[in-house]
Amino acid sequence: MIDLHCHLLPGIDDGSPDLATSLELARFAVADGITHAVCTPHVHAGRWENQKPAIEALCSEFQDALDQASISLKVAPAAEVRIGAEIMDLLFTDQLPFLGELDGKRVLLLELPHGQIPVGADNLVRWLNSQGVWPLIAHPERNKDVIRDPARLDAILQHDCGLQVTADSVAGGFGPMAQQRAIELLEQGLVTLIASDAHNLEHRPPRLSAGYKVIKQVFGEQQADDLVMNMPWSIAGARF
Amino acid sequence: MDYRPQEPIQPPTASEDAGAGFDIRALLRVLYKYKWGIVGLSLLTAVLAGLWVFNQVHIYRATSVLLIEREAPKFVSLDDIYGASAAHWEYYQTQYEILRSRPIAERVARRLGLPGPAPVATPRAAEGWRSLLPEGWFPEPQPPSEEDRWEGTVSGIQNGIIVTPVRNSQLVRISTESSDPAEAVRRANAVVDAYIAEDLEGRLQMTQTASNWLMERLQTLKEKLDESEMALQTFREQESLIDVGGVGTLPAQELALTTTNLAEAREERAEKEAALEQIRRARASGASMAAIPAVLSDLSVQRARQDESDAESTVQELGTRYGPLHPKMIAAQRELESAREVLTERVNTVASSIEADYRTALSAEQQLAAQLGSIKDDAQVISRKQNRLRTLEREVEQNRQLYELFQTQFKEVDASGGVQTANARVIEYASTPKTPVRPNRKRTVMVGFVLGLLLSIGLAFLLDHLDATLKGQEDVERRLGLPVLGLLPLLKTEHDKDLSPIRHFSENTRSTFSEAIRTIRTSVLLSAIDTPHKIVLVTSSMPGEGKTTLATNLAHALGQMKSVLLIDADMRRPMVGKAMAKGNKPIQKGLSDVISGEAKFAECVRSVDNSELKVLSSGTIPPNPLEILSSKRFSEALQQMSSHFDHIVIDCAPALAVSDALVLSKMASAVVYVVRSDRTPYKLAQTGVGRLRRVNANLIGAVVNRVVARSARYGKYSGYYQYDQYYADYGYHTRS
Repeated sequence: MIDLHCHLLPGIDDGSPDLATSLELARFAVADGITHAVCTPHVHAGRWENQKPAIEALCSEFQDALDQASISLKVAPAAEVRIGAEIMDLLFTDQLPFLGELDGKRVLLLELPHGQIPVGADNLVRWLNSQGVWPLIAHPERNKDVIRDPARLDAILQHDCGLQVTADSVAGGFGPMAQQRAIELLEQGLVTLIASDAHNLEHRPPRLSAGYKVIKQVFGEQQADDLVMNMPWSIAGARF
Repeated sequence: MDYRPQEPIQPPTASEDAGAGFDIRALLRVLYKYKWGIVGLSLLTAVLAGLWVFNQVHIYRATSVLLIEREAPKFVSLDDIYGASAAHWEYYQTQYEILRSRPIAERVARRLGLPGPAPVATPRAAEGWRSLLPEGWFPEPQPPSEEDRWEGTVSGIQNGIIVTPVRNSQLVRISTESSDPAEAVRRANAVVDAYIAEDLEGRLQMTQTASNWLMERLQTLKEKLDESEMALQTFREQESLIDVGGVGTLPAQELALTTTNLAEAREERAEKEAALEQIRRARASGASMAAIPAVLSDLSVQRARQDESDAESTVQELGTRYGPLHPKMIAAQRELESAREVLTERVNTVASSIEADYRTALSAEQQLAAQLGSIKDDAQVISRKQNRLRTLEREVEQNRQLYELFQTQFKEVDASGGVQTANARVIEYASTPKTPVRPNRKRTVMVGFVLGLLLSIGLAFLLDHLDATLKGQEDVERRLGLPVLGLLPLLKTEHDKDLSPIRHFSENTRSTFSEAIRTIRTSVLLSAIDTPHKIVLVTSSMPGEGKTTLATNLAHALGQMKSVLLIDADMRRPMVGKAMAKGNKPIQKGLSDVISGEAKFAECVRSVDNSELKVLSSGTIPPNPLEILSSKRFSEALQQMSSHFDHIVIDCAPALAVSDALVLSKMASAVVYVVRSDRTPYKLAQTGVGRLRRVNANLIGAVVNRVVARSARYGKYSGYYQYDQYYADYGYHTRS
């Protein structure tokens, strides 16, 4: 399986604090059946001011460490970019780390504030579309606005974008409401792929298998495979 | 780890009907909001109830069980059977009432020797206030008289008797209550004893009354009997009747005989009379009396006639042969004549004897008739006496029968009066209660708690109903028709005097407050992505809702990215300058001075450390701020400033109080409206927003300030709070 959203890189955000933990997480991921992972540290102005070159460098080091520790996990650098006006500047200066490409469009993992969908989020998605960017919205099923009213996603979904649902949300690990929203989005066929959003071993481990099993039970094996392998690979396969 | 993969996970059902669910959520939100008040008030009432109940005297209840039997009714018809249960019910109902009746209570009081000796009246200390009042207003309470105490005791006992029938049985529980358990037992037992005694006595009294009456009646009857017997006796003696049966028969026979005799005598007399009549007639006519049968029947006459006829025939025979003078003829003639003489003599004799016979017969008849009359008289007298006797005898007989009947009954009553059995017996005498029946401490405290709970919940809803303030994101969106740009959480330090919220963002980059500010920044910037908002105006309905807090923090946040000028245009309550000075000497000159030309912009503007933010305070407070803000010089100055900065954030006076915001909104490209959660009345906010809309201000949204984390988030979904908890668990909040 290919995980396109995880915070495995050490000491760069609220994910893994150090290399040892990162290696533990990697081992967990491999045990779970993850073969490739795109590391997506937060890029959040005023909060996690990560730069694309630094992420790439760290990811390269991490790959070396993995190889040294004989962990058969391939990693590639990208970022989970918090929505904000600064994205426009970052795009102009080629500072945006992308997950990969899909149908010739660059795929950006775009994070909404967990409390709400900002006014004008749809404006940004539209603008990104106009710049040849295809935003992949990170875990919308956990957004409080969406939990309150799923119709709040409609403005964004008018434009060309995808949704990434957290695997454990599908399995119920983020509560019944997040699970309900995840299943609803899956039923509507709006979900592009599922990812782990791994931060740590205790609460948010690098795990896709749980969500995969549920989707397999509810929607069938084909769709489950698409969500954890085929779609992620068609986006990020070229990066490994 | 909540995940359990082995369980098949069903797709959750679609969200519940929003309309029906909303009310419940609204109710839950109210309860959640006032939870401490509700808990506190409930506990308070529980404690008060507890204090009250612990000062109450303990009341003990003793119960004895009584079996009340009822004589088995004799069913004779179907109706009786159907009516039996009703009669049964009535009977028991009556017994229960008797148990509760006053005579029982009196009996109990007598048995227990209640009320005890009168308490010795202790002369109370003279109450000062009594002497102050006019005499007679509050007379000294008199000690209760004996009758009053007796009355009180009896009615106390009577009211204290609790009768509880045991269902579907003949058993009755009789309970009494007292502060003394032994006294309760004594009373409960005394009541059942009194009931049985009362019942027995009642029955005895009834038979006594009956036998007294019978006795009286018997006495009367006896007298009457004696009287009638006496009368009979007297009559008999008077009439010297011995054999009552013989009296009637003798005269009857005599009467019959006499009557027959009389009839015979009459017949004889009539016969004689008829013969006599013929004789008389014959005499009168001179005809021969010999032809009269009565005469003829006489043998001597018949012989004389025979002789005559013989003589005649001799004459005739001789006549044929002899002449009249022939001796023979003469002898024969002589014989004939003598025969005729004899005959006449004989006839005469017979006739006179007939007359004599008639006379005898007549007198005999008369005698008999007289005799018959006297006999008839006698018989009537006797019959009268007989009737009288019978009457007297009947009377005696009747009186005797009556007397004997009553006597039998009396004996029966008397006998039954001697062997009375009670209709009830005691099944169980009361035993000493160990625990008091009242007060039920637990229950009283519980009731206190529940009442407090209901009261406080009612109060909570009342308060909530009266509270017409804006609450949370949805409320603001619905009532103001504005998108919510962000929710600013209530900061713990908000009550400080140092106005720290104003600088919060610059000092705490990782807090939820700063995160909210960044979200607002994103919203402001993304809401007009093609032509970015140059001038952002921050206003609110009233002072103190957080305009300055938002303006400064937003300016800071924007300042992280672009060059920003923060203008304090609230010349009525300027805050920015003071707050931003952070203890340094604030720059006195500001916006008003720049507009009036008394100072240069560069003199007044102040840089903020580590950012591209510049601050222009309000400056000298002018007499009429609106005049300055609506002047041409101001709009020109603003124009000039905007060419030097990417963004200008203006903090201005509240939209409701003055028109400053309306004037400024025309120059601003975006207006942000601040409301304070649970404080801003929605009507005021609606008015303020309405005023701005009428001047075509570009209201991009509202910011809800001072949102209390849990109550605000406790919104539409019941799982919301839990969801929040997940975030905390998964390290989202820990990174701040």
